[in-house]
Amino acid sequence: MTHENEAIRLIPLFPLAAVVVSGLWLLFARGSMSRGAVIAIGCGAPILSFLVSLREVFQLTRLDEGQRFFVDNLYTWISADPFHAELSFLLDPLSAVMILVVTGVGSLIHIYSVGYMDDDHREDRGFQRFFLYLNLFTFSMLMLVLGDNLLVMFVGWEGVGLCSYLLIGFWYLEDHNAMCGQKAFLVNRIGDFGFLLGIFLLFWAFASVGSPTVEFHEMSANVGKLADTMVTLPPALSFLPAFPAWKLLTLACLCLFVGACGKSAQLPLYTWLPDAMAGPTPVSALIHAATMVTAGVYMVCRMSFAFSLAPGASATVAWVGGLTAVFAATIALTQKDIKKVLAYSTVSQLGYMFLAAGSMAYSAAVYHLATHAFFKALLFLGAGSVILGMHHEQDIDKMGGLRRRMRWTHRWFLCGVLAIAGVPFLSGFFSKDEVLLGAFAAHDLPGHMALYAIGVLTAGLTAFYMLRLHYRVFAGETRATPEVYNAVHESNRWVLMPLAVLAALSVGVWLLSPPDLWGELLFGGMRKSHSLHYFLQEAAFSAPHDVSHATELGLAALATLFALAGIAAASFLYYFKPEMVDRLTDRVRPVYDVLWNKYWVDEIYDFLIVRPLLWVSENVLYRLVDADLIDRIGVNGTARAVRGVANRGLKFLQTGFTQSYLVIMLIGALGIIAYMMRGAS
Amino acid sequence: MEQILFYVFSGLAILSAIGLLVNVRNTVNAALSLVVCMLSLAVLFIMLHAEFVGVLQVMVYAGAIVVLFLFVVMLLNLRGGNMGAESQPVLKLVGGAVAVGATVKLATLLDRPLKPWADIDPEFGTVAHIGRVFYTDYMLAFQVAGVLLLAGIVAAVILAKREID
Amino acid sequence: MMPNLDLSAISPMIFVAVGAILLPLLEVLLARMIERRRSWLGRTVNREMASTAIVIFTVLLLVLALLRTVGTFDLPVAHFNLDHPMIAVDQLTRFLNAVLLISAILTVLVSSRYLADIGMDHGEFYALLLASLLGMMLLGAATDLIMLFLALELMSIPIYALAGFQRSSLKSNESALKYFIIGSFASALLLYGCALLYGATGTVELAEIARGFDPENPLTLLGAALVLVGFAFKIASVPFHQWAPDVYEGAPTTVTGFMATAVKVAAFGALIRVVAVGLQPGAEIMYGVFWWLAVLSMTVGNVMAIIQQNTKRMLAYSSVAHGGYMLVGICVGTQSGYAGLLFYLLVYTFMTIGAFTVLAILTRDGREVSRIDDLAGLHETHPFAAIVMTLCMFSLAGIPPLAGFWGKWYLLTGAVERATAIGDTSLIVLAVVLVMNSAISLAYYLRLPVVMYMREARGADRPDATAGALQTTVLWVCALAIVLIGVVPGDFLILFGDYDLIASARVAASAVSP
Repeated sequence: MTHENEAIRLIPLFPLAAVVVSGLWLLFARGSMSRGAVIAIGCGAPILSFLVSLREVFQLTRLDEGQRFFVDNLYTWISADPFHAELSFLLDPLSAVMILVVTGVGSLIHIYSVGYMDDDHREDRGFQRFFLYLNLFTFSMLMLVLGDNLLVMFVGWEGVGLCSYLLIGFWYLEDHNAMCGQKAFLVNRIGDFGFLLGIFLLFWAFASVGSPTVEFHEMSANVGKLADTMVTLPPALSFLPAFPAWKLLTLACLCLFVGACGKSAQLPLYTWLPDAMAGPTPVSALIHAATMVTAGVYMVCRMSFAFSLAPGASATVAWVGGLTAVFAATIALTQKDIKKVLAYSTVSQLGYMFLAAGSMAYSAAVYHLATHAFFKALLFLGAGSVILGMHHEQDIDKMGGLRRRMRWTHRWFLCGVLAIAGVPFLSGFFSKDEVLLGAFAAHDLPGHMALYAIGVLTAGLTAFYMLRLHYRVFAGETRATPEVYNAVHESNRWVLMPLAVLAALSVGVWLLSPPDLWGELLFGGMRKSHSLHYFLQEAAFSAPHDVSHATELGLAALATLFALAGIAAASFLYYFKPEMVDRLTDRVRPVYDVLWNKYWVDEIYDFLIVRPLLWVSENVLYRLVDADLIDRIGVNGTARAVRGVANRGLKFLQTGFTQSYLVIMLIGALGIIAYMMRGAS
Repeated sequence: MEQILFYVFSGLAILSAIGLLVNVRNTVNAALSLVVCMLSLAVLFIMLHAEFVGVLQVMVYAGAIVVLFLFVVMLLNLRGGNMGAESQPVLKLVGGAVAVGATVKLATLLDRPLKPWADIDPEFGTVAHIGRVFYTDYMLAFQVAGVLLLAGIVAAVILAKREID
Repeated sequence: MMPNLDLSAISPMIFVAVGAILLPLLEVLLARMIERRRSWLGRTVNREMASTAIVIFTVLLLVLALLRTVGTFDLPVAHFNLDHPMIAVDQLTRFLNAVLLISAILTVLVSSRYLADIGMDHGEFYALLLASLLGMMLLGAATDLIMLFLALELMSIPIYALAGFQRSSLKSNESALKYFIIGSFASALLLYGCALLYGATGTVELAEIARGFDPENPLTLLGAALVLVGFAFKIASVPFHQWAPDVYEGAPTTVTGFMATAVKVAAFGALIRVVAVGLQPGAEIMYGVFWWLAVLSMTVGNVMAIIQQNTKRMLAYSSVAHGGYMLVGICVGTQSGYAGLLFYLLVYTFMTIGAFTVLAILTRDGREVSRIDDLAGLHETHPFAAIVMTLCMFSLAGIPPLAGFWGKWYLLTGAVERATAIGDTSLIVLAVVLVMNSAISLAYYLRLPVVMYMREARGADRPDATAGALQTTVLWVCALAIVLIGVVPGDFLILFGDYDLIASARVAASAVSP
């Protein structure tokens, strides 16, 4: 049985080829390609990747259990003894789920973009440029998830960051958009720094036990040797106060998790994601909801062999995730920008995934990641359709009553809302239950019951704000001016078709692999191996839980209760008694203000970090260090000295007269002769 | 006899070389001193039984090169006053120092016993012998020299031809 | 007695020699056909047709020679004249020949259009180029001082003429004359050195010279020193470099590109052979000479390049500095040192030809884009040329992951390896000087991209560039080579055949080093 499979490379190759073709065209041709060609290349590439992915994942499922992985080794990327890094791809159950999501949801969003970007005439070549970036993103994301070692993963990691920056600032002519792109990029740099430190630390640690590698399989096989290694300070740093006795793996995993926090918008690095909504809506759906932001979760699951040996790090992951989940959910309660609500919801749901990952229920995290990709993409695309219909109005205070003018959008959007709210027997219900079950069952996790409670509370909040959003947009009487309202139109087929597919998936994707409990209850004798939990075991081992089926059902009922409560409250407030909203708001004004202003986190960061940093960089680093020390004395000083030497000394010798050249040559020759003959007898 | 001839011609060679330097303002005289120098050297070669080299010395240096010098001098019609316009005292000083230094160094080098020369075949250096090795051992060098001459001619034509098109 | 000759051993050189001999005839023939308005294939022969024919003929010969060279790379050493080998066709020769042929092919492809632009579209250009190329190919192969000198002259004389090929330009004339006078001086020194070596050892064969080399004998040392001086001139190493800026500036741009690359390749190839074979017993004595030449060349070249305003002069000083980097490989004097040098020669050829090609296509109506500031706004008028120029500059500066970085990398690792092996700190100092000089060089290499991309073109002075198809091809080849050699490691090149460049360089270096 061979695990070599050269077809894997095709998956990232298609989008790369599209980028190369389209990029060269933009670079050298004056105009843009024809619209048909852009669509064919731009959408064709991810669709082809998706088809190949389907085929290869199917091949993967047919391998023997416990041996399910394919490796595709392109070439040795870095060979510096003893360190080797291959450019190779790994398709195992974990990356299989990821590539299906990335290429599947990705293809749908590419198709949707055709309809969405059609009315954009801000720049002639914008249409092609947009698809170029999207394809580049798809390529980078596939590198990230398929990479067989941390370095390839890091390349993809940086690549998706770049694409995110490019696409947030896609309409860069407006300053605000460009600023948002920069914010995303800078905040991500903090995370990336942690990620890099983690990679170095791990490599160093593995090298110290005799297996210098960053390849996942090898690390996983050797991680046991590191289980008890403690952090020791190098002798040169012995003057520092004693370092707390940390396990090396804990430190490395925490570094990696800083990277995950940046990419996946967790506390305290989440602030860029709401601002990332400045990008076109398909971008928000693809990058900032379905795929890129889940890279952090994926990375934690991929490194689960290390995290599971570092309980301290895992607990941190779980607590950060849980707190982010409830924190972002509360902010989402009050927001008025349709995309901001969804953005905070995304932050909150990502927190859920980390909660699961930190509870070492990795399969639950991936399960929620996948279902979330479907319904959150659906919600964003639906929101995009609304935005298109409303001619780029995003304030939900100016919407309402759109149900009658955008029938299909309304229906599909509602599917997404119900799925994320946790209505039973839609996909969100199952994955959320798995997450909560994971937290509930994680006995080793300090405060796991508190985390469980937070999770349940968040489920209720989620149901509330999603229904609020839905009612404010689609139900009741319109708050838009009559001209605007009458001009609202249903979107075109390019837009609606992906919505329909995603709606179907949001509702029913769980049928492909229901959790163990529900598989047994609903389908009786279903083979256990069909559950995602089981499938993922060999890639990211999740500890088995000891919760009985009865308890599990009870937990599900409790979560459902909270979700239904949230739905009921939202329906009451925003559908049946909308006039009560303002009174209630006034009653809790202080709380409302805190939430409406997002806990002033941006302002606090601005005051505590950005301003001092700017002050230091302006006055100390720029004026003193850079301008004076480096520029005036260092660079310009050196340059002036060099120029001085060259101008006054050396240039004088370069007279242009052949005779003087010959004399200098002769002197040189005599010098050489004298030097060589000094030893002659 | 040979001793006398040797001293006569080597003295002549040195004297004419000095004459070349002294006559720097009168180029025709300088060129003629050079002819004398070359001819004296040719005699020395022949005395060393290197007839072929001696003949080449006469043909190439005394014949071709110095005649070319003379042509150039006459065509340019150089007179005394035209020379030395770019005379550079620093250069002269440096040049003089270099010359003195080199002479001293060479003199110290020569002032020591050298290894005796190996005996050579009496046929060595004859025209017949040279012709034979040209077409056998030094075939490649001979051919390359041919290409070199061709390239030289093409180069001269392309640089010197008045009208190219 | 018939000599025992093996023509197949030197078949690439024969291709080149045939071209050098036939091209002047072809030119005359075509000129007569134009004069008499003869027609060929139904069209009256005109100048363009004639030049096309000449270029096709030249490139065909060169490509055949290149294919033959590359195809025979793995064969054992061959000799033309088995009884009296004056040249050795070994891996070193073949590697050098391949690089030389690449340089020549690229130069020919750029030149056809460039010569038409400066109004000097004559077939003699290619004849001289091929004659010089033949000299270079023999120079790298010569195992005999006679052959060495002949090849050196065969290389140099046509190059002198090529430097003055643009007869309408005073600078071109000055360039040729200066190069000729100083070159003759250096040749004379080299010849004197050869004569002394012959006198001291009684032989002209390098291997025999090594056997008779007496490090105490002043004649031997004097001879060796003078030979080194001759080579130092050819590779434009400080203090024998002063001709380079003047000559590079005045010569037609494509000739400058050829001079800057091929002459260096051939001279360094021959230097490797002379140092590693003939003068091997004097290695320790010569080490100091090379050390100082390397340090001086790097430092003076880079420092002087900073203050240049003329692009070609800047590149000339840059080439002096690169000569210094390569001398580090000679200082190291092991197989890995020579291999690093050979690899550097290869990448240096692509970067330098690329840069000069961009300058060549900017020439319009005989007016050169001479000042660096004249390149302002190039990214608007000819974005591709600007990209290639930027790549070349970055690569010359040694910015990873471009080819130039790996060139420096192999030189540095060679030096450090050797230094640790023999515990010699002076080599480490040399490596440090190399790194510091790379940093200095950024000051002028980055200036071009800055000017091209960040400064507005000034009104009517915008650099107007429309490259011919052949010139665009050359730009592509250079850009791809710089990127691929840099980004893609050895293994990946297997896709293009079994050519791992650094491994080939190692094989080539092993032909002469122990």
